[in-house]
Amino acid sequence: MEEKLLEVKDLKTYFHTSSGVVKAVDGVSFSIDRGKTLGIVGESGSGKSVTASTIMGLIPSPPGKVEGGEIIFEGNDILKIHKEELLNIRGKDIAMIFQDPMTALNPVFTVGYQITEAILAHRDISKKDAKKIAINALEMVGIPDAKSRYKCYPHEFSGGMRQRAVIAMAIVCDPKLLIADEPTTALDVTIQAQILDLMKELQKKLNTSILIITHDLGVIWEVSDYVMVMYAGRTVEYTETKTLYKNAKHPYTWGLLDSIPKLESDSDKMLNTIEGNPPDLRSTGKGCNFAGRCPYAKDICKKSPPKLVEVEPKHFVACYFQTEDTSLGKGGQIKNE
Amino acid sequence: MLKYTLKRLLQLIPTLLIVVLIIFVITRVVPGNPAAVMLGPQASVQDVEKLEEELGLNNSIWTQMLDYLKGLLKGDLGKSYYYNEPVIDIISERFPNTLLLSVFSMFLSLLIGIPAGVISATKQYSKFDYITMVLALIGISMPVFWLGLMLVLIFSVKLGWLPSVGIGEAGFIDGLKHIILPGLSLAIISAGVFARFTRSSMLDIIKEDYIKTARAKGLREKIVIWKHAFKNALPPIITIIGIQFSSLLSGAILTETIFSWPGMGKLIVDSIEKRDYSLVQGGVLFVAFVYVVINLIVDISYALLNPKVRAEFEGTKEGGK
Repeated sequence: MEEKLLEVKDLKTYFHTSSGVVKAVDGVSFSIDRGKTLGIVGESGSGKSVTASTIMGLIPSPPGKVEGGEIIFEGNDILKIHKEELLNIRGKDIAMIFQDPMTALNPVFTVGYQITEAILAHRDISKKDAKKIAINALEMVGIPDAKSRYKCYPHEFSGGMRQRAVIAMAIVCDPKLLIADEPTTALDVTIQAQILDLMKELQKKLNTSILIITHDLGVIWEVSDYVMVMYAGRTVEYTETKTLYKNAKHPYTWGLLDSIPKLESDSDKMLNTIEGNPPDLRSTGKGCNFAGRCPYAKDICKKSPPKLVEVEPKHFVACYFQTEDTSLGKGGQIKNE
Repeated sequence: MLKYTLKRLLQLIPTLLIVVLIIFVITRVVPGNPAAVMLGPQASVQDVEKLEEELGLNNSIWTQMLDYLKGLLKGDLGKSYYYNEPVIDIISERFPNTLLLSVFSMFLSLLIGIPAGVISATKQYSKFDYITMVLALIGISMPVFWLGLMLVLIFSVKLGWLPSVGIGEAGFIDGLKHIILPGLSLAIISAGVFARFTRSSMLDIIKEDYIKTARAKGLREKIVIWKHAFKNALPPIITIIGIQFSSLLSGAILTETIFSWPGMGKLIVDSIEKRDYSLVQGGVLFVAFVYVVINLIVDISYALLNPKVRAEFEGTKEGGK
């Protein structure tokens, strides 16, 4: 029996701006088991990063506000606990890796100092011991000559090394959950693979759960056990990674999968795209958010939002035509069972 | 670092040479004659000519400048025509007063302006932010002479709490009483400037990713703001502190005049009125020197704050990108 480490239920995070309420996250549910990896995939502005920041309690407020839902971490709703307690969880039990390693490290402090600081924030040990742990962590993420690198400033590191340092900083307190917000987007391809391998290796060693956010389905395939597809602030499909590639159910997921360039395809052929643009997040919520771009949309799709339904074991889809008694085929035929 | 500092100090020489050239030309172009001023309106033409001869004012401007520069090399700033004392003595008597007033008002304004700016930035668009920024704007917009006069009117004339003239001679408490009003009138304006600069610099930094990283580590908000954000926000703040401080040190002319504060500003203005060429030259040269030195300190502080700039100064090669 797998144990749930984190469970997010119907999470809603809105931003109250002068031009209206932006529903950045508007009903997202998922869970992560211990030692497993969940990938959240979606295009820019689909609410992936806001979901991650909400879990970390890093939503700037105002204008951001969690309007509803629960984030249950090890049995406690972290939206309800006191700020002080949250400080203890943040960085210790839940750690985060950011997208751009070039800007994620403070330029005026040494890399070593910044890692040591993370240790000392959560553990009552001497500076000397903290330094040992930090050097150890740098070695673990594959930084050569860690002892002398400890004293370097971020600008003396290359992009890949910085991301390694950021990872070292995140794992230094043995977090139970590691949130990685597009950890490879800003890196070049060879480094991307190295960083993903490193994350997998560390996960094995430390039995950490990982929540990885990306817009790159290739990354999902590489590292994650489960995948959640987000669109305009909502979960549209959530299942095991293998199932998603073999038997995706949501029309948006079909579109995503089709838009991956394939090596064997004719290079003169245009890449498949999803027609149209994502909706304005100030005016979403009435119906299915994808209805405007969905080739199969019917009247009902524009009237009320579809619920996330478990159509087969461990396979959730939010689409009116993918329920227990109907299933939409990719060609557009609806079968009644 | 040391090499850089020495290089910058060497650059002082051409800067000061140009300053000397400009003051020489300007003082000589301005109508009026020091000999005539010294002797008063009743003096005969012969007496004036005789004095001019003695002071060396009949020589060409270039000869005068060459003589002056020769003196400078020996550390001699010349003799004041009016006071009949070495210029260097007069400056070293007056400058401490200006330094005292500058440091006092600087201290006050930093104490008010910096925290106000930081808190405003962390609570952007809050009531505190709005009130602080309006007060800062009022502070910046007030003419210093008006503010000085208002303070005198309220605290000296109406309430009679504080003296309005001079620097006080009866010990520390008396000195403190005398410095409060001129110090405050300068500090209020600087504090407004600092608050606004600090706020805008902090607002830029707070949005940076590494601030998010610092928060994600579970650091306390105080540490995130004052250590991680403030240290990065400092360079533009230090620049403006440098500018404000050097303009205070060159003598807050209006404030010193209102409060009869015997400082550099008042000295230079008085010496211009008296056509006391050598005192004007010495005073302005000294002020220029102070400016350059403070600029140097500001530049060095950049390097101390930012390891990347430090590496550039030291000329070490950068690792990675």
